[in-house]
Amino acid sequence: MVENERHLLELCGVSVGFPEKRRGLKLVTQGVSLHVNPGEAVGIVGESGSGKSVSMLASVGLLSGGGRIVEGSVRFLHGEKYIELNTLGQKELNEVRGDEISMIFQEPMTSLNPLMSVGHQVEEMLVLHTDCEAGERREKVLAMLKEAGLSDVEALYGKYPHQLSGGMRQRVMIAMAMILRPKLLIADEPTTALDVTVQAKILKLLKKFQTEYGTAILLISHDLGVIKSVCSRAVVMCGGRVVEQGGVENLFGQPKEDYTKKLLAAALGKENVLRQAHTQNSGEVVVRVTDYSVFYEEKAQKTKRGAEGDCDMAAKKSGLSALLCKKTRREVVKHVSFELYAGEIVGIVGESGCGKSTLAKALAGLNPLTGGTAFISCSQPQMVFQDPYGSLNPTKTIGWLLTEPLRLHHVGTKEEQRRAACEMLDKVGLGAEYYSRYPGTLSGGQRQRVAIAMAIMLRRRFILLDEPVSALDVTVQEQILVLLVKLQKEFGLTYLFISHDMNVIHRICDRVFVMYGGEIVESGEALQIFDNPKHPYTKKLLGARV
Amino acid sequence: MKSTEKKRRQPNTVNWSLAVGIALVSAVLLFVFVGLFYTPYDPMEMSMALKNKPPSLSHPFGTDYMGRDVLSRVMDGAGTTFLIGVVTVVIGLVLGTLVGAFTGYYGGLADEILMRLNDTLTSFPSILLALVFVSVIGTGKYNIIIALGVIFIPSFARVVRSEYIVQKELDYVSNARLLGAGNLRIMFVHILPNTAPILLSSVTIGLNNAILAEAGMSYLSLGVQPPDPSLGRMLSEAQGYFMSAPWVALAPGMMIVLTVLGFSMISENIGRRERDFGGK
Repeated sequence: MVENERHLLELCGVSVGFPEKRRGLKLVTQGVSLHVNPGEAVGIVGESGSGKSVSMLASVGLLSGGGRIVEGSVRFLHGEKYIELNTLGQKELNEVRGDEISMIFQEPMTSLNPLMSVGHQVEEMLVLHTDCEAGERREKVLAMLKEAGLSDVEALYGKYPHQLSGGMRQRVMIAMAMILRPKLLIADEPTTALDVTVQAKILKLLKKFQTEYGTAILLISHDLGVIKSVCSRAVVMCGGRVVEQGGVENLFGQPKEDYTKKLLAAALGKENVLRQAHTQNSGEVVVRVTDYSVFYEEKAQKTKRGAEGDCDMAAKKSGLSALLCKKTRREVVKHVSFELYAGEIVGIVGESGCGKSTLAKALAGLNPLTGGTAFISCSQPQMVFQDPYGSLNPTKTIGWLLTEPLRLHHVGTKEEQRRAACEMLDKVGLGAEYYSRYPGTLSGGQRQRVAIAMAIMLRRRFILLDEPVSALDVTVQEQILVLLVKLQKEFGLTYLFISHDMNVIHRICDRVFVMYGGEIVESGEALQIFDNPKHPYTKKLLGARV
Repeated sequence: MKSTEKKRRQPNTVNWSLAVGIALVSAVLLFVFVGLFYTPYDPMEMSMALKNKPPSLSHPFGTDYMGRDVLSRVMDGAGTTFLIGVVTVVIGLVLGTLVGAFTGYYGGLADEILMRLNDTLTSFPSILLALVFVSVIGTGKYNIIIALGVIFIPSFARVVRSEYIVQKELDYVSNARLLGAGNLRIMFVHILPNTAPILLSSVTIGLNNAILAEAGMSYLSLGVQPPDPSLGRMLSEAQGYFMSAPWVALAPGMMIVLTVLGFSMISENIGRRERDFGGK
């Protein structure tokens, strides 16, 4: 590092505190020091709760909930001299933000105003910070949108955010952030909500702006791959402190701190496969799906909503779809056929919208509009959902949730049910002391353990896992995957594991189906798919893996 | 995760408006409760000698046009008003929740029909509807409870319905279904507790409206019949003497204002808290 080089942004010992009930301040970050040089791309890595977003939001004065910088200073190179961002008033801060510092956020749907056309939203930046004429503004906006990789910009100008895809929205956000050519772009998990193939394109775009306009980028992400592909230097954060920082090559090549090593180990699943593809194929078919299609109604027909209630297996098998007129339906899963054998973990991979979740829900009997046949050797398969916050009823205790399946099927006495639930809690690594706690007091990983326990309570042999680790941090992902494999062996389960994440699939699955546009485009042993992909889409997916 | 959960609970110092609301409501409740067992005078006892006397030590809120003690009548009448308010809300709550749960959960044709019926009910001023009811089934304390209770069904039904429409799409409901729970069990064991926060704030708002509606109906001589006191009845009687004996109207009026204020302050805070916790 050159001694006399002037940093663009400097955080010196920044501690951010949130006011807490009765007890004054709770410190979320402690003594965070880092800097960004002009034109440099720096990454901040860490798990959720590590304080990576909070420290950056605090630096630009965007914290909500009463949080503020308690200690330390944030300096930003403004013209020739430094200004202290943490001492500026709202008005002066507004001038720096947008003009010289801009931000993009994780969820492009919520960070765009749904009631304003995207063109006007981008134009708003010019209205606030420059004194261009209306015509000139429009020209600039159109040029910028084009530069952000969007096509047909004239038509796009008048469109509203809900008419765009996630990737397009994020491009609009980037156009908005870059139109004033800021010196610093803070990107907070800009690609987390996007599909892998889109993700790679967005990262390329960021990189392009960095090299072309010399914009410094501060990229916040939990994904080491994302950081690696854009940044030259990275900062690892954990528990509100900076653990380690340095050049990307050094940091990820020879990590010094234990935490960095742990993070790397969890992220680079390739060397760490949990299951090899040595399936002792018992030949016993657990699931046989032939020419199976799943439909959605194109425009929700009111009269058919009533059918949702009684979508049990019987209704599904009898082919309720025959009763419905064809023109209102859209085929989401198209004529897929496959077999699952006892004791297998089979992965379905594909990007969002490819129909993989729809397929799982239909197999579980949650969508009655199906065609073809699905034979499942056990009664009602169980399912683990992606979002551990939505899948557990917040008003019930963990014990109640775990005993509910037993109550519903009249298994055992109250005392036996209680004992079974406690045993299951032990098995998923939580312990009986969680019995009387509520989901609200658990972390995401703990909740997912409860959800898995619930799915196993009835000892059904076939379990559908719909993105079970996608909402979790990498190190927690690791633990849940290990748990899933352990339980699979112990109870002799068969999993259908759905994920968009090739790394996760690679680690856990024996066989893989690649889905694209509602069809299975490639299937085979996991090793074969990963080492020798045949279909162009599979190659693209593997290529986008960062 | 822990830090974000903490963050949402901020900033949480003493919530004065909630505290004042609770204090007001409990003071009013205490007052009503004492009134059940003890009033300084018999609220029905008339005395021509004491007609329209201003507040004094022996009659702190004065006497009305029949020489009855205003304090005693407020203590007694507030109880009646409260009873009507609470029972009305309970009727509306129970039936409204049932209607809302079924229509929201199942949707479809029944939903369409019931909701249009609901719209029809809400498109008339509630006091007008109550008037129609009362003219059919007659006046009196119990008839007015039925009339107001029926009128309260739509508002609860609508709130509960929209909550069910949201909740039934959540994964925990799918999960319960996969575990083998039937529709009724999902509706009332799994989903219903999750509507509690929104129900709680509608109940407090409902109580307000019920108390005001009773006062209005009794003021129009359609509710509680003389000589039984109720807050609205008392206001109605005091109207004729408003220039000469304003204190007769003051006590019941204040009672209504304080009660409604208390409930409003509580419900506003419940609503706010729910917003803070609800969104993710």
